[in-house]
Amino acid sequence: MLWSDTALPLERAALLLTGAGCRPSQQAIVEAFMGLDGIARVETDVIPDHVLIDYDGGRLKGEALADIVNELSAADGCRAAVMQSCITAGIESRVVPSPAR
Amino acid sequence: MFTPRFVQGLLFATGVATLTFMGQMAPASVAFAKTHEISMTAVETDVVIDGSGEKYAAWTFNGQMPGPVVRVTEGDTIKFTLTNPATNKYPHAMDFHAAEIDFLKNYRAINAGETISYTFVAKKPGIFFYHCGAPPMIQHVARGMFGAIIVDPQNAKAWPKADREYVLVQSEHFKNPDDVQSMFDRKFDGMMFNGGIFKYHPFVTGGGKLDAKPGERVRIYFVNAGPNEFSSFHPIGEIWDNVYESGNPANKLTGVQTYVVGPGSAATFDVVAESAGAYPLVTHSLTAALRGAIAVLLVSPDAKPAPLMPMVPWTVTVPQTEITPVPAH
Repeated sequence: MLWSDTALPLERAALLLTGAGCRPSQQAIVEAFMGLDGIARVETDVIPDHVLIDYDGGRLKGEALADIVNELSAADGCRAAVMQSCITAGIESRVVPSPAR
Repeated sequence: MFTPRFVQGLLFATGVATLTFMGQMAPASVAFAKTHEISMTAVETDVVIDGSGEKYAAWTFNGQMPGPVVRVTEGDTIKFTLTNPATNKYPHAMDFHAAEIDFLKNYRAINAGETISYTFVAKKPGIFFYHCGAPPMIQHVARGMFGAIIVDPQNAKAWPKADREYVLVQSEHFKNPDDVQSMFDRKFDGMMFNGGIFKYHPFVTGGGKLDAKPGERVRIYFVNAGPNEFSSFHPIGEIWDNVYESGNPANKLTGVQTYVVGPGSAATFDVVAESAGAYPLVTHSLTAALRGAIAVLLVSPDAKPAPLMPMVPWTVTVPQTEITPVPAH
């Protein structure tokens, strides 16, 4: 778990991490997030194979957070996607098309 | 001679300032039955109801929503006292569903500055609702005056031993605590487990989880406080191994996918998750689940012991000022 000293109106993104490169690059992923403005908290030890990120929803989007992992050279062999499931919360959750293959 | 249950009661009492259990030896004709002196105070206070730290002007028992879990054994006597401090604004009352006593004498509302006491014997085992019955009762329940009493069966072998136990109380959240009409109109804004919206949903800001180990028999004592909505309680990714209507071991169902618990009712749910993973416990009434009634049971070999009602009261952590090291994996 890593904290910043910023008090923010927070949202939480749950990113599903898949691939053999995820565990070795966990530290690099956390550090990449903590280097961004608008990130308050990053947790990797709550849900297996997921990173939980508390962020300022006015400045960042969950999909953009997944892109950060996917573009991180230090995280080769690790893919991130926003966790979508039947327990995705709230009436603001919306229909998101599947990504193009 | 102190039985394990008596010791447990004493241990519990040490954690709840105004709830006291005074074990006494009963007559030989009711061997092992005990008397519990239970005191609660009606407290009108703000409580945190979501992971952002939002506060709600609640009415509570002992300052928490739900009120403290009361736990006794079938056959025990409960000497109950409710205090409504003079500092409160409103009348309050207490109705124990575990009791079989005269309503007129015992469940009347008392004004601020008054106290009421009554005694009952917990004759039937189970999980039971308790709540304030002062008018309008719909508002007193909606604002948080509810809780659970567990009456353990005298015969502990009446059902399988649980490896881990939780109490979950479902209740509706109305943003405006003074808008009684919206309560009558069933226009709830959120659905809570143990007084919090998405309290046990780790994918939501401030959310936690419930823990268990693979193969453990997890026993959920479930109460639906309402005040209006039915709960359709379902474990995603699992099947209830057993459901006990009203929590009575005699009312046993096996292999249940979803079980309906009406407002003012309760049931006990056993589930054994063989594999590590996440098993969300939800009401399958989705307008309620997706507005707060999701509790993720995270099954892991590393699961630690947990209290009956974790995160009550809900203390929302604010980001701290120092950066702590990332744990090594």
